Amino acid sequence: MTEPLLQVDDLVVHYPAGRKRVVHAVDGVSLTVAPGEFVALVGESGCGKTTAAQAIMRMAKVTAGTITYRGRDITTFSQRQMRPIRHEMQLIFQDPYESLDPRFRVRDTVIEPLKIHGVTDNREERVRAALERAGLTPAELYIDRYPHELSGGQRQRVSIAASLVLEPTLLLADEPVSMLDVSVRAGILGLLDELRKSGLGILMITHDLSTAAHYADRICVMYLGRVVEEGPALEVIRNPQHPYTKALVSVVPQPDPDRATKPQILQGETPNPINIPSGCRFHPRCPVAEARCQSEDPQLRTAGGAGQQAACLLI
Amino acid sequence: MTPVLAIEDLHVWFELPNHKDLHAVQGISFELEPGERLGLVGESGCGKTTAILTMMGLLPPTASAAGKIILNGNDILAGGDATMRPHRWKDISMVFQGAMNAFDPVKTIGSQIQEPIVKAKLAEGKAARLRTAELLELVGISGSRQDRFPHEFSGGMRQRAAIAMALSCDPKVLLADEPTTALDVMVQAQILELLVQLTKDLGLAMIMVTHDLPLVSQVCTRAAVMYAGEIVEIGTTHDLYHEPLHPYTRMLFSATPDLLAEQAVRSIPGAPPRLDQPLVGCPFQPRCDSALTVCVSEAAPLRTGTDGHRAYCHLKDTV
Repeated sequence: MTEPLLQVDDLVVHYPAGRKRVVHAVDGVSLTVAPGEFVALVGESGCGKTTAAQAIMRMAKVTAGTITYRGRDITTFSQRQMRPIRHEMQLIFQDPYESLDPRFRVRDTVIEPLKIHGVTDNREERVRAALERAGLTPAELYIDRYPHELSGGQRQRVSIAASLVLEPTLLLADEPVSMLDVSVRAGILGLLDELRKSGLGILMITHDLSTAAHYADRICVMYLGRVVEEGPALEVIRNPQHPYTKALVSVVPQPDPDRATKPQILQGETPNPINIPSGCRFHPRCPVAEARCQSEDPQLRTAGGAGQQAACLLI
Repeated sequence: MTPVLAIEDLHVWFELPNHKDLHAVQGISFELEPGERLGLVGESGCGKTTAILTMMGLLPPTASAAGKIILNGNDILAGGDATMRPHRWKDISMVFQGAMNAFDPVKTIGSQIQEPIVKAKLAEGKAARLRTAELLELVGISGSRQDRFPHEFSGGMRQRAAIAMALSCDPKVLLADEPTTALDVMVQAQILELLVQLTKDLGLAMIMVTHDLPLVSQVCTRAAVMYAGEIVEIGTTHDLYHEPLHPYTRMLFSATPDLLAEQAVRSIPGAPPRLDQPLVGCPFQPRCDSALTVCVSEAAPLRTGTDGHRAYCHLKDTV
C-alpha cells in the first residue's frame, strides 16, 4: 500500500461550553486518505464531521490525537509552519453562492490563492489551466465573467478551480453538491472523481449516503464524534455491521417505488455532544442494545468484509 | 371519485422591473383525489413553488394568474382574494419551505399554533389551548410542551410543530414545500412517515413539492414532473420510474444516485430556458439526449399511457 497522504489518529476536539461543560465535537476519530483515494465522511448534522475536517486543516484547535500529512506530524505546527501545508491541502466549500465574491471576476477569484501564497510566475496560465481542469473550457469563455453571470454548477466549478490553482495533493470537500440542482450534481462529483484518478486524495464530508456509495472508495460513518463504522464503500452500504449504519442505510429513499424497503426509523435525535451517553454512545437509540452496552465503550474492530471495521460490542 | 382539487390551465406571470413578463407557470392542469399524495418535482426555477403559492392565493402583488383552481367544484381563483381568503388554511393549507425556522423566537410554540385557530374563530381561550395540545399530539409532540419556546425544540420537532400549525383549521388539502430539506436523513424519515400517516388518518390530500425524486417515490402514489413552467409528465410513481414517457423524467432519474444500484450517475447538460421570452418548440429540446428536428420548432404533442399517464413529447416509441 502506498503511504497515506493524510493519517489522522485518535483525533479529539473539545470546545468549552461554559460552566465547566465541554462539547465533545470530535471524540477519537482515526482515518487515512491515500493518494488517488476518495474517502467519504458520512453522518448526521452535529456528528462532528465538519469539525474533524476543520481540525485536519488546523482551523480548529486540536485537543488530542495526531494529524500526519505525508509522514510529517502537523498537529502542533504553528500557523506559519502550516502555510506551505495549506498550499497542498485545499478546501472546497458547500455553497457556491456564498463563497464567491460577487465583485470579483472569475480571474480574480482564482488568482487570489496565488497572491496569498506568493506564487508570481505564470499566473494567467495557471488560472486558465485550473479553470480548464475544473471543466470550464475554454477558459476564455469564463475568465472575465462575474459570479452572477454563471449558473450554480459553474460557480462551484470556479470555486473548485480556485482550490486547484495551487496544485494541491489533498482536497477536503464539505458537502460540495448539497446546494446544487440534481441535474448538475453528477457533473461536479464526476469532476472530483476525475481529480481522484489523476492522483489527488479526496476527503468528502456529506450526509448523503447515496452519493458516498457512488463516488467514494471508502466510507467512514460518524456518530456523535466517533467513527462507528468504516470500510470499502460497497461493503458498508450492502453489508453494514453497526446498528446505526444499518438504520441509516435503511431510511435512504429509493428511486424505485416498487423496491421493498423496511425503513428502520430510529426515534429521537442525536444526543447533545455535551452529555455523551455512557458506554456505547449509541446505546440509548440502539434497537438491539444489551445491558453491557451501557457501560462498555466499544472500539473499532474487524467486522464484515475485508477492510471493514465497526465499533459495536455485539459483533 | 370527484377530485378535491382540480387545476385547469393555470398560468402565472411575474412583472419584471424592465416591464417584461416572466411566464413562471405556463398552463398546468391536474387533479387531486381526496387522500391522494401527489409529488410535484423539478429543478429550481421550474415553477413548482409558484404553482402551489397560487393555490394558496399568496402570490406577491407583481404576479398575475389565470386559469382555474377548482376546490370542491368551485373556482376559487376567479374572484381573487375575496374567493381565496375563505379557503386559505381552512380548506387548503401549507407547510412552507423552511417553516421550522420561521417561528417567532420570543413567542411560545403553542401561542403561534393557536393564532390561526383564534383568527378562524374555531376556538378561544381554554378550548384553543386544548385544540393546540391535540394538534401537537397528532404530530408526535406531547401537548404539555405547548408553552415551550422554539429554541427549546430540535429542528425535527419544529418541523412537526409547523405541520401541526398547517393542520390547525382542519384542511382537506395540504401543500408541503420541500418539507424535509435541511433535515437529517433519520429525521427526514420520521417526518415523511408522519406525513403519510396523517394523510391516511385524516383523509388529507397532499401535494409535496421537492427536487428529490426518491422522496416522491417513497411518499407519493402519483407525481407531476415540471420543466420550464409546464408539467411535462404526470403519472403514477411506478410508471414514471419504470416506463417514463418523457426523456426529462428518465434523465432526472439517471442524475439521481441510487443507493443500491451501480449504474453511472449522469448529469443533464445545459440549463433550463429563460422564461421571460416566449418558448418555441419543446422547452427541453436543447438538453434532451433524444431530440428530433421537429422538437426545435413545434410544441410537443400529448402522449398518453395507462392510469392517467400523460406527457408532452414528440417521441413515439420508448424514451
